Amino acid sequence: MRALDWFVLFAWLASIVAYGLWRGRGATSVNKYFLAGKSMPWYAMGLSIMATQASAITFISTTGQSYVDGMRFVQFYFGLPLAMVILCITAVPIFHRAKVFTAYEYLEQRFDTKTRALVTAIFLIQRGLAAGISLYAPAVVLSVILGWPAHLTTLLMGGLVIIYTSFGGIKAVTWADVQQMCVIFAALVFSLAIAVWLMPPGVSFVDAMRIAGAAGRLNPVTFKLDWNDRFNVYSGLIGGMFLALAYFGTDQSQVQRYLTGRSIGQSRLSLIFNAAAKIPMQFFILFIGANVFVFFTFVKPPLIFEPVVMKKIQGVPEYPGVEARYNAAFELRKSAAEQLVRARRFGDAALWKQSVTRYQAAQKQLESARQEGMRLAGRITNAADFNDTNYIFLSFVTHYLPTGIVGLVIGVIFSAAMSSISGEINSLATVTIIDVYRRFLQRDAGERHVLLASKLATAFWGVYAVVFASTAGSSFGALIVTVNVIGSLFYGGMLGVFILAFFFKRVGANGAFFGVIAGEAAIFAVAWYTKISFLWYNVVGCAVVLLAGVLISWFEAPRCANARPERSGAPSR
Amino acid sequence: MAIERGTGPDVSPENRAVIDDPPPFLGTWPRVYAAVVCYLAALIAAFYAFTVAFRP
Repeated sequence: MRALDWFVLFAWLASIVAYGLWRGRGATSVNKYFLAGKSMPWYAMGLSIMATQASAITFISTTGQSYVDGMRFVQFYFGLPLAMVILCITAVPIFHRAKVFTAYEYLEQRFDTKTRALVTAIFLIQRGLAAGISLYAPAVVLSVILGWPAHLTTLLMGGLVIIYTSFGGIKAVTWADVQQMCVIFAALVFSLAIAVWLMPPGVSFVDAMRIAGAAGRLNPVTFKLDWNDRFNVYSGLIGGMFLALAYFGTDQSQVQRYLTGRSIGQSRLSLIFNAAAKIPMQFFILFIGANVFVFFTFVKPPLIFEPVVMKKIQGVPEYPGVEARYNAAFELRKSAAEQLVRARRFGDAALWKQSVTRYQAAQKQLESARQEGMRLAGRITNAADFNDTNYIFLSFVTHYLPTGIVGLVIGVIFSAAMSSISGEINSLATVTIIDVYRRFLQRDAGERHVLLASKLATAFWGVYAVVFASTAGSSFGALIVTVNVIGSLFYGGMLGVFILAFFFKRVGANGAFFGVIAGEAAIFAVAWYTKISFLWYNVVGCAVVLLAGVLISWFEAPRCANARPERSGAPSR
Repeated sequence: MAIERGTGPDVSPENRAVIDDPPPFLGTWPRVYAAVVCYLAALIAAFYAFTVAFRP
């Protein structure tokens, strides 16, 4: 990075904090701090929802995912628009009318205290883990670029987020997200334009797409049904829909966004905006990754993209042999790609077919040589499944993008991370205060007391995320997948209990409580004993919660009918 | 539908009436939802065409 890049980066980071603090001023009550006084317009909520979901992981890992596996990851989001529609019909009006701060508060209105406490605990565990990982991602960026220790960069990132999130609450978080998403969109367009512009002379945009296609990188849709395949249309539509339902319908980091809307219609519009924009945005990010792949077809990529590990393996006795095979395979693939371009230009079908076969064989040879390098890296880092996916896009950005743009893209990765982390720690603080502190510890606390406790809780979760990321972050592989796997372990149970609450009027508190426990047990059993894709965990967990909840309530019904009257649904806070 | 606004004696957000307003386009929410589903189907179809077009 050069001086201009540093200037752009730090000016951007300072502007995020300043803008967040300015927009968040006047958070003088708990309602304003956690729900922005229910005053937010749909576009601010919509962009904030997208910003919270599109973390730094999205940029670092998704582009890398496309580089190694193609664009089929986009199918993961196919269920999202369906989930948005369902939530617009169900969760949005129900939560608005219940006048709750958190989704879990509603569970006490509908069921009982123990169900609310259980789901609150599940949320705090899973979102707490995800917050740590979200913070770890940009720490990787800085440590790679600056050569600083990761814990120092984690501290810098976390510190900035804690400042504006603690002082300004949800309003600061939301408006900072809006600012960040606008720049993120601009940086995405820049990144793709530059990736295409950097192609060697004689290689057009269409040539580049043909090369990516021949390598199997332009594969956004797979109709082949395979239960063990993480990404196909079916797992995306069904599993993805369940995951999105759970994430947007039961995860406070998302629910809180649309609870800040000034009306049910505004909240619905924010979700509809997501339904329309999310898939094209992910497609675009994956497409950048595919273009980076083509770029590295003509410019030799490092054997291992993780620079520190790359340096280390150079001292291993087997390295020269692996490097020689890798270099030879790269030259072979480059020459095959050039032949492929020529064949396309001449319109020679026979030559085209022959070129594709040659190119694919060369690609396999290169992948095989890279696998040897990965095994060496795994050996010296003691990581059996060593993975450098998260470094691919960064390597491209820092080595090949023009001065100034490098600072901007790195700044965008920072802000993407900050928008996610701020949303996460804000929601963690909300649940801690509303569902734990004010519910169980200080029921009669005054407004000022709770407001101060809210700010302290936000700072606490920020510090927790910093500590977690510093100590445990390095043990995670491809971050985007790790976050979604962790979410899928818990979301099925949470989704199940909310479906019981919304649609199963006869299901009582015990059915809901023990249903969640049964659902979580089923998810962990499936995760432990089978190889089923994580997207199906949500379906399994949700189904078990529904089944167990209905059965338990059915067995309980005769006894309970005379035991106590129906709950009145009175607010509990 | 008339939109209620919190102009009564107590206008604090917690006590403000919940407003369920119509969408700014397509007239009703069910039409908006149908449009979203059609949009998704169109996207999947377009992505499939993209996959087939660049399949070697």
